[in-house]
Amino acid sequence: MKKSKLLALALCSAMLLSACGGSSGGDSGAKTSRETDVKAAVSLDFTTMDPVDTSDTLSGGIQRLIMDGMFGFDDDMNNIPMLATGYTANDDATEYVLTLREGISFTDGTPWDAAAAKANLDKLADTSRKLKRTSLLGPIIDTVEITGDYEVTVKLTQPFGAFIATLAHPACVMMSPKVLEAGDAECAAHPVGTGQYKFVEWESGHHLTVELNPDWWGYEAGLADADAGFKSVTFDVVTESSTRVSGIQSGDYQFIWPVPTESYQTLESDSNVNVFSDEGIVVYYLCMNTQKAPFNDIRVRQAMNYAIDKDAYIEIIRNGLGTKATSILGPAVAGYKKNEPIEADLDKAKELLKEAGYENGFTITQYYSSNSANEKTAQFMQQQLSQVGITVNLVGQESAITNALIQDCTKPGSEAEVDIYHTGWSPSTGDADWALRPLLASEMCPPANYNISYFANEEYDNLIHAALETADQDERNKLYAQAQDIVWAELPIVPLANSFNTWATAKNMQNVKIYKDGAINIRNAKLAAGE
Amino acid sequence: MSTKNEKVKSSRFQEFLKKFRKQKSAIAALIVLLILVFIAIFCYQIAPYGINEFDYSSVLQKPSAAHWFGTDEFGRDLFSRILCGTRISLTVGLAAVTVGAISGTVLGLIAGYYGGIAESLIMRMCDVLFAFPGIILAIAIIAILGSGMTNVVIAVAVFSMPTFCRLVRSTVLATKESVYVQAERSLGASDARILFRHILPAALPNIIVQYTMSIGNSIMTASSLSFLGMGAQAPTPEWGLILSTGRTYMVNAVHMMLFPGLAIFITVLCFNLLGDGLRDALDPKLSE
Repeated sequence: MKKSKLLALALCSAMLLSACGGSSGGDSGAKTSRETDVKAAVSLDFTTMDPVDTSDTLSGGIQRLIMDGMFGFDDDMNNIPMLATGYTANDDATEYVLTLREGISFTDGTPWDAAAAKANLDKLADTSRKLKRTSLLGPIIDTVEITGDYEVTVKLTQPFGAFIATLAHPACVMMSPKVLEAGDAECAAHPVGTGQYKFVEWESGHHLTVELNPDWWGYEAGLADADAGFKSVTFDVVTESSTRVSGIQSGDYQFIWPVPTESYQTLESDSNVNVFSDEGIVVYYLCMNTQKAPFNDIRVRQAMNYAIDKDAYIEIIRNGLGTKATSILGPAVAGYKKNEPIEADLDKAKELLKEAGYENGFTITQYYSSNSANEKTAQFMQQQLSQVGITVNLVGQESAITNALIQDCTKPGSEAEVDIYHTGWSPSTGDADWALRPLLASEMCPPANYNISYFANEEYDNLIHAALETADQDERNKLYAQAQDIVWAELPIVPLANSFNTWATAKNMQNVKIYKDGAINIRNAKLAAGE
Repeated sequence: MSTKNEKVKSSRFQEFLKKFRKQKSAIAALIVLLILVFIAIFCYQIAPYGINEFDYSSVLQKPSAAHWFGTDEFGRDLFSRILCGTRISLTVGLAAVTVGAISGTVLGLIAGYYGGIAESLIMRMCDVLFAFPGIILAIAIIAILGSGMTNVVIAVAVFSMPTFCRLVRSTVLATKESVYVQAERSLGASDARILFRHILPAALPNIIVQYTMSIGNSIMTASSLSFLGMGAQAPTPEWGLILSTGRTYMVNAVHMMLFPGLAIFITVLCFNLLGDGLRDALDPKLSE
């Protein structure tokens, strides 16, 4: 009797032990990085694999593993040549000659040459296809000519100084002409590029897998160490934050991102996990509909800026992982100009409201997509504004409904339903243009783009457009600095915080990074030495 | 005649009390529920802090003497919020089931008593509603009506209605041919009198048991809907909503999930225990 009990106990514990050790993918002793299958968890589902139709950072980041652009970024998000080796531009920035890297093939065997570059640029220029990111270069590119085996000349419809910066945008990565010919549906499902990884499979809502391309040209070009890269990487879609956190703690995943800021400390104290944070270029801010009362009054907008405590916002909403916004651009963006954050001052806010005729406050509605983070932010805004007598009604909805209301709104600003809206933006070109223009230029009001403040300022528009008419970066910086000063003076937004990107890896991983725009960067990732 | 009637009634009630008194767990549940009702009525007077009293200096604090249930992500006192959530959960539970019970009973009486096309219509409609699991039906209704507590009440009422309808109809079918009903009819009593004076009382014990059991279920459903973001909107201190927020802090602030979860658990358990006790006391088939 006793013996059989002991035996049962031993069996049970053996089963338990094997269950505990079972699922950790590929961290066993002697394997090298390139023999290791790695699993990662991400917070959102991928939307498409067609870069030209991608508007989310996550999908764009995965596409950058599979496909390279003519220009790209180093770890600090500086623009570097990738499939191009250089360029020349004429003085008024209307014609660019791009020299292409030689001796490279797409992973399906198609050679990378001027014809391939032209096929890709033509797609980017073709606004009739109704793909989301043709808005980047569609109105800009006039013609693309093959002027050599490895040279294309791009003529633009207008001066566009941000052309090279825009070519580094994740939407401008190059896809095999064979796939392009097969049509947009094929591009969205089976991307082929020249990248470090090859696309294997994508099951929507579940996972996406890529495998190493050991012949990647970047190894020879010195973009990555010769032993960097994993046999395969599977990205599981794990929307529930706490599941991602427990996944990295249990060893089910070798890296996760983002780390929910509220779990940051928990992971920091876990000896099996490395957790990272790094200032990103996502700036969080609160839009105010400047064409609608009461926000058409500058004093009300100033009052809003004085009413919201940015320190408390960073402490409570970003769990301390952030810095006060000093522009609508992050400090790492080319063209950024620092302005002084507006410190909270309730008395001043009340005084301004009184001057504007809102001594007894007013009532507004804040829409948000229902998830725990947005709900927390919305409650925070409600509480902050209640201190100066502003009543905020919160309406949390399905994200599709909120997006339709905010982004696809076809009514003019004065009739749009949005009063205030909390959001964040990162210019994935690393250049000021792709924030200052889509967020605040008058022609970018919804549904065209993301000017949810319905800000319309002629001087501002002129500066933004003038900056595009030159390729001289110093001149552009000067114009962008003036534009940012206008934002600070007119305050169509309440600038809140520069975000920190947060991610976590298993102890045995190294060089897993996140670009400043929030996209994954595993170019040089490998198993740590000695593992 | 009337005194005799009252005597019968009171003896029936005494018999019920005698049986019910033996249901120890049901009595305990009843006491807890009475306390909860008291809390629901006086929550704003009892609560030590305001439900929207933010305190950014004491965020996510563990339970302590100052904050019995700890604090939430904004430093609000969780104990106060859960106390005030009692009113919301009980109101929603009671309101939804009352609406469901009344409409279900009336429809059941009509279907059972008159038969014919009315019966077919009502019962097929119930079959349709029964075909969906409760929560799915509620989600579908919310998807049509939009989120918010009023719509949650409507959704829960709709899905608890068919149970009452079937229950009442079966009792009506069993009793409408009985001698005392036929006697009343031959004396020229109106349909309404027969239905409400003679048939409904026969169905009442079943209705009461089902009513009590359904409240627990509907509180659970209402909390589930809030948990899924379809019911109460922030910053309402609804238990399901607090639980849903607490999920984010599961690892480093367990109290955020523990206490709203316990509140739901205890309330639902008590209603179910009370329902069980009532059934045992009211069911003549279970007499000693």
